[in-house]
Amino acid sequence: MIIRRDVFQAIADPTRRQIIDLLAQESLNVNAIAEKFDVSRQAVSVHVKILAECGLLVIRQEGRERYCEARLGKLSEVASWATQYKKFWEGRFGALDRYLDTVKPQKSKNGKSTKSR
Amino acid sequence: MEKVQSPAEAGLQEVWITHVFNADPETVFRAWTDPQQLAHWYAPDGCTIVFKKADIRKGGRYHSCIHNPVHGDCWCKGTYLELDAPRKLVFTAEVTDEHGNDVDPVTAGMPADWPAKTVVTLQFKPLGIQTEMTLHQTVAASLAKFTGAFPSWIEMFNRLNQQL
Repeated sequence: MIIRRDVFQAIADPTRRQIIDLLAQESLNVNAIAEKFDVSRQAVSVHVKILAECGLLVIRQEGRERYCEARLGKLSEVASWATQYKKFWEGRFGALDRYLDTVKPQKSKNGKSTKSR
Repeated sequence: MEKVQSPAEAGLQEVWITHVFNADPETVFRAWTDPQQLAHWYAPDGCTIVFKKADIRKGGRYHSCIHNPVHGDCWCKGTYLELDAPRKLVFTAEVTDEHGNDVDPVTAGMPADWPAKTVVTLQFKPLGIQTEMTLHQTVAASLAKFTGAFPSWIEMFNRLNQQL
Protein backbone atom coordinates (compact mmCIF):
# COMPACT_ATOMS: atom_id res chain seq x y z
CA MET A 1 0.00 0.00 0.00
CA ILE A 2 1.29 3.44 -0.91
CA ILE A 3 1.07 6.14 1.74
CA ARG A 4 -0.35 9.21 0.11
CA ARG A 5 1.00 12.52 1.26
CA ASP A 6 -1.01 15.10 -0.55
CA VAL A 7 -3.68 17.59 0.28
CA PHE A 8 -6.42 14.98 -0.18
CA GLN A 9 -4.88 12.80 2.50
CA ALA A 10 -4.49 15.87 4.70
CA ILE A 11 -8.16 16.75 4.69
CA ALA A 12 -9.48 13.17 4.72
CA ASP A 13 -9.59 13.24 8.51
CA PRO A 14 -12.02 15.47 10.47
CA THR A 15 -9.49 16.20 13.24
CA ARG A 16 -6.96 17.35 10.65
CA ARG A 17 -9.57 19.59 9.07
CA GLN A 18 -10.22 21.16 12.48
CA ILE A 19 -6.49 21.61 13.08
CA ILE A 20 -6.20 23.45 9.78
CA ASP A 21 -9.15 25.67 10.76
CA LEU A 22 -7.47 26.48 14.08
CA LEU A 23 -4.10 27.23 12.54
CA ALA A 24 -5.69 29.38 9.85
CA GLN A 25 -6.51 31.84 12.66
CA GLU A 26 -3.24 31.72 14.60
CA SER A 27 -0.01 29.78 14.86
CA LEU A 28 -0.03 27.36 17.79
CA ASN A 29 2.33 24.86 19.34
CA VAL A 30 1.36 21.20 19.49
CA ASN A 31 0.33 21.38 23.17
CA ALA A 32 -1.99 24.29 22.49
CA ILE A 33 -3.55 22.38 19.60
CA ALA A 34 -3.93 19.25 21.73
CA GLU A 35 -5.78 21.21 24.43
CA LYS A 36 -8.52 21.95 21.93
CA PHE A 37 -9.22 18.30 21.20
CA ASP A 38 -10.36 15.24 23.09
CA VAL A 39 -7.60 13.16 21.56
CA SER A 40 -4.16 12.54 23.02
CA ARG A 41 -1.20 14.82 22.44
CA GLN A 42 0.46 11.91 20.59
CA ALA A 43 -2.49 11.64 18.22
CA VAL A 44 -2.36 15.38 17.58
CA SER A 45 1.40 15.09 16.93
CA VAL A 46 0.72 12.44 14.29
CA HIS A 47 -1.89 14.65 12.61
CA VAL A 48 0.50 17.61 12.70
CA LYS A 49 3.23 15.48 11.17
CA ILE A 50 0.91 14.32 8.38
CA LEU A 51 -0.24 17.90 7.73
CA ALA A 52 3.40 19.00 7.54
CA GLU A 53 4.24 16.17 5.16
CA CYS A 54 1.25 17.14 3.01
CA GLY A 55 2.53 20.72 2.85
CA LEU A 56 -0.38 22.27 4.74
CA LEU A 57 1.66 23.54 7.65
CA VAL A 58 5.25 24.29 8.57
CA ILE A 59 6.77 23.79 12.00
CA ARG A 60 8.82 26.72 13.25
CA GLN A 61 11.19 26.33 16.19
CA GLU A 62 10.99 29.29 18.59
CA GLY A 63 13.13 28.78 21.69
CA ARG A 64 11.89 25.58 23.25
CA GLU A 65 8.54 25.76 21.49
CA ARG A 66 7.65 24.38 18.10
CA TYR A 67 4.96 26.46 16.45
CA CYS A 68 2.74 25.20 13.68
CA GLU A 69 1.91 27.66 10.94
CA ALA A 70 -0.74 27.01 8.34
CA ARG A 71 0.13 27.01 4.65
CA LEU A 72 -3.24 27.18 3.00
CA GLY A 73 -2.24 27.60 -0.63
CA LYS A 74 -2.28 23.85 -1.07
CA LEU A 75 -5.97 23.69 -0.20
CA SER A 76 -6.85 25.04 -3.62
CA GLU A 77 -5.85 21.64 -4.98
CA VAL A 78 -8.79 20.12 -3.18
CA ALA A 79 -11.70 19.06 -5.28
CA SER A 80 -14.24 16.30 -5.34
CA TRP A 81 -13.66 12.82 -6.75
CA ALA A 82 -15.61 13.99 -9.78
CA THR A 83 -12.98 16.63 -10.56
CA GLN A 84 -10.23 14.05 -10.17
CA TYR A 85 -12.00 11.68 -12.56
CA LYS A 86 -12.63 14.53 -14.98
CA LYS A 87 -8.90 15.20 -15.08
CA PHE A 88 -8.27 11.49 -15.57
CA TRP A 89 -10.76 11.18 -18.45
CA GLU A 90 -9.58 14.34 -20.21
CA GLY A 91 -6.06 12.94 -20.10
CA ARG A 92 -7.34 9.61 -21.43
CA PHE A 93 -9.29 11.26 -24.24
CA GLY A 94 -6.11 13.01 -25.34
CA ALA A 95 -4.36 9.64 -25.37
CA LEU A 96 -7.24 8.08 -27.32
CA ASP A 97 -7.02 10.93 -29.85
CA ARG A 98 -3.35 10.12 -30.38
CA TYR A 99 -4.07 6.39 -30.54
CA LEU A 100 -6.87 6.88 -33.09
CA ASP A 101 -4.45 8.91 -35.22
CA THR A 102 -2.19 5.87 -35.39
CA VAL A 103 -4.97 3.48 -36.40
CA LYS A 104 -6.73 5.96 -38.69
CA PRO A 105 -3.91 8.02 -40.20
CA GLN A 106 -6.07 9.02 -43.17
CA LYS A 107 -8.46 11.06 -41.03
CA SER A 108 -8.15 14.83 -40.80
CA LYS A 109 -6.98 16.39 -37.57
CA ASN A 110 -9.39 19.28 -37.31
CA GLY A 111 -12.28 19.68 -34.96
CA LYS A 112 -10.93 18.04 -31.83
CA SER A 113 -12.49 19.56 -28.82
CA THR A 114 -13.36 18.72 -25.28
CA LYS A 115 -16.00 20.46 -23.29
CA SER A 116 -17.24 19.55 -19.89
CA ARG A 117 -19.73 20.67 -17.37
CA MET B 1 -27.29 7.29 6.88
CA GLU B 2 -27.92 9.24 3.74
CA LYS B 3 -26.24 12.58 3.47
CA VAL B 4 -28.43 15.40 2.25
CA GLN B 5 -26.66 17.27 -0.50
CA SER B 6 -27.25 20.71 -1.85
CA PRO B 7 -27.74 20.85 -5.64
CA ALA B 8 -24.27 22.36 -5.97
CA GLU B 9 -22.75 19.47 -4.04
CA ALA B 10 -24.73 16.95 -6.05
CA GLY B 11 -23.48 18.58 -9.23
CA LEU B 12 -19.92 18.18 -8.02
CA GLN B 13 -20.56 14.48 -7.57
CA GLU B 14 -21.02 13.74 -11.23
CA VAL B 15 -18.78 13.89 -14.27
CA TRP B 16 -20.11 15.02 -17.63
CA ILE B 17 -17.65 15.36 -20.50
CA THR B 18 -18.20 15.59 -24.24
CA HIS B 19 -15.34 14.97 -26.63
CA VAL B 20 -15.11 14.72 -30.41
CA PHE B 21 -12.88 11.98 -31.76
CA ASN B 22 -11.47 11.84 -35.29
CA ALA B 23 -12.87 8.44 -36.14
CA ASP B 24 -16.24 6.86 -36.77
CA PRO B 25 -18.28 5.49 -33.82
CA GLU B 26 -17.40 1.86 -34.71
CA THR B 27 -13.68 2.59 -34.43
CA VAL B 28 -14.03 4.57 -31.20
CA PHE B 29 -16.33 1.94 -29.68
CA ARG B 30 -13.80 -0.80 -30.52
CA ALA B 31 -11.02 1.19 -28.85
CA TRP B 32 -13.12 1.09 -25.64
CA THR B 33 -14.05 -2.58 -25.84
CA ASP B 34 -10.90 -4.34 -27.06
CA PRO B 35 -8.43 -4.97 -24.19
CA GLN B 36 -5.48 -4.89 -26.60
CA GLN B 37 -6.51 -1.46 -27.85
CA LEU B 38 -7.27 -0.22 -24.32
CA ALA B 39 -3.69 -1.09 -23.37
CA HIS B 40 -2.53 1.49 -25.93
CA TRP B 41 -4.25 4.48 -24.41
CA TYR B 42 -6.23 3.79 -21.22
CA ALA B 43 -3.37 4.07 -18.71
CA PRO B 44 -2.36 7.59 -17.65
CA ASP B 45 0.81 8.96 -19.25
CA GLY B 46 3.89 7.19 -17.95
CA CYS B 47 1.79 4.32 -16.58
CA THR B 48 0.94 0.92 -17.97
CA ILE B 49 -2.29 -1.06 -17.73
CA VAL B 50 -2.65 -4.82 -17.46
CA PHE B 51 -5.98 -6.61 -17.61
CA LYS B 52 -6.03 -9.61 -15.30
CA LYS B 53 -9.52 -10.21 -16.60
CA ALA B 54 -11.43 -8.53 -19.41
CA ASP B 55 -14.70 -10.22 -20.26
CA ILE B 56 -16.14 -7.37 -22.29
CA ARG B 57 -19.74 -8.35 -22.88
CA LYS B 58 -23.00 -7.59 -21.11
CA GLY B 59 -22.68 -8.87 -17.55
CA GLY B 60 -18.97 -9.62 -18.07
CA ARG B 61 -16.40 -8.46 -15.55
CA TYR B 62 -12.99 -6.87 -15.78
CA HIS B 63 -10.12 -6.59 -13.33
CA SER B 64 -7.29 -4.27 -14.24
CA CYS B 65 -4.17 -2.80 -12.76
CA ILE B 66 -2.71 0.56 -13.65
CA HIS B 67 0.95 0.54 -12.78
CA ASN B 68 2.46 3.91 -11.92
CA PRO B 69 6.28 3.88 -11.67
CA VAL B 70 6.15 6.40 -8.81
CA HIS B 71 2.94 5.62 -6.92
CA GLY B 72 2.75 1.88 -7.51
CA ASP B 73 -0.22 -0.23 -8.54
CA CYS B 74 -3.82 0.84 -8.64
CA TRP B 75 -6.34 -1.98 -9.02
CA CYS B 76 -9.79 -1.51 -10.48
CA LYS B 77 -12.62 -3.90 -11.25
CA GLY B 78 -16.12 -3.67 -12.59
CA THR B 79 -18.98 -5.08 -14.60
CA TYR B 80 -20.11 -4.25 -18.12
CA LEU B 81 -23.77 -3.41 -17.69
CA GLU B 82 -24.58 -2.53 -21.28
CA LEU B 83 -22.90 -2.90 -24.67
CA ASP B 84 -24.79 -1.47 -27.59
CA ALA B 85 -22.19 -1.16 -30.34
CA PRO B 86 -21.45 1.45 -31.54
CA ARG B 87 -23.87 3.63 -29.57
CA LYS B 88 -23.64 3.00 -25.86
CA LEU B 89 -21.36 1.43 -23.28
CA VAL B 90 -22.06 1.26 -19.54
CA PHE B 91 -19.68 -0.17 -16.97
CA THR B 92 -18.94 0.11 -13.28
CA ALA B 93 -15.59 1.11 -11.79
CA GLU B 94 -14.82 -0.21 -8.32
CA VAL B 95 -11.87 0.20 -6.00
CA THR B 96 -10.25 -3.21 -5.47
CA ASP B 97 -6.97 -5.02 -4.84
CA GLU B 98 -4.86 -7.59 -6.66
CA HIS B 99 -7.25 -10.39 -5.64
CA GLY B 100 -10.42 -8.58 -6.66
CA ASN B 101 -11.65 -7.98 -3.10
CA ASP B 102 -13.84 -5.01 -2.31
CA VAL B 103 -11.61 -2.32 -0.83
CA ASP B 104 -12.68 0.64 1.24
CA PRO B 105 -11.50 3.73 -0.70
CA VAL B 106 -10.01 5.28 2.46
CA THR B 107 -7.92 2.13 3.02
CA ALA B 108 -6.68 2.53 -0.54
CA GLY B 109 -5.54 6.05 0.30
CA MET B 110 -8.46 7.94 -1.24
CA PRO B 111 -10.22 10.88 0.43
CA ALA B 112 -13.08 10.01 2.79
CA ASP B 113 -15.81 10.96 0.31
CA TRP B 114 -14.36 8.88 -2.52
CA PRO B 115 -17.05 6.46 -3.78
CA ALA B 116 -16.29 2.72 -3.71
CA LYS B 117 -18.27 2.20 -6.89
CA THR B 118 -19.12 4.49 -9.77
CA VAL B 119 -21.00 3.90 -13.01
CA VAL B 120 -19.60 5.18 -16.29
CA THR B 121 -21.97 5.67 -19.24
CA LEU B 122 -20.54 6.40 -22.68
CA GLN B 123 -22.66 7.45 -25.61
CA PHE B 124 -21.28 7.64 -29.13
CA LYS B 125 -22.93 9.75 -31.83
CA PRO B 126 -21.75 10.07 -35.43
CA LEU B 127 -20.75 13.62 -36.30
CA GLY B 128 -19.86 13.56 -39.99
CA ILE B 129 -16.79 11.34 -40.15
CA GLN B 130 -16.15 11.96 -36.47
CA THR B 131 -17.69 10.75 -33.23
CA GLU B 132 -19.12 12.84 -30.46
CA MET B 133 -18.73 10.90 -27.27
CA THR B 134 -20.40 11.85 -24.00
CA LEU B 135 -19.13 10.43 -20.74
CA HIS B 136 -21.29 10.49 -17.65
CA GLN B 137 -19.93 9.13 -14.41
CA THR B 138 -21.88 9.00 -11.21
CA VAL B 139 -21.86 7.25 -7.85
CA ALA B 140 -23.49 3.84 -8.23
CA ALA B 141 -25.90 4.46 -5.37
CA SER B 142 -27.42 7.56 -6.98
CA LEU B 143 -27.77 5.76 -10.30
CA ALA B 144 -29.54 2.84 -8.59
CA LYS B 145 -32.03 5.31 -7.18
CA PHE B 146 -32.45 6.82 -10.60
CA THR B 147 -32.91 3.55 -12.48
CA GLY B 148 -35.05 2.22 -9.65
CA ALA B 149 -37.58 4.85 -10.63
CA PHE B 150 -37.85 3.49 -14.15
CA PRO B 151 -39.45 0.08 -13.53
CA SER B 152 -42.22 1.71 -11.53
CA TRP B 153 -42.91 4.12 -14.41
CA ILE B 154 -43.03 1.21 -16.86
CA GLU B 155 -45.43 -0.67 -14.61
CA MET B 156 -47.59 2.40 -14.40
CA PHE B 157 -47.65 2.82 -18.18
CA ASN B 158 -48.46 -0.87 -18.61
CA ARG B 159 -51.39 -0.58 -16.25
CA LEU B 160 -52.47 2.55 -18.05
CA ASN B 161 -52.28 0.74 -21.42
CA GLN B 162 -54.40 -2.09 -20.12
CA GLN B 163 -57.02 0.35 -19.00
CA LEU B 164 -57.17 2.24 -22.29
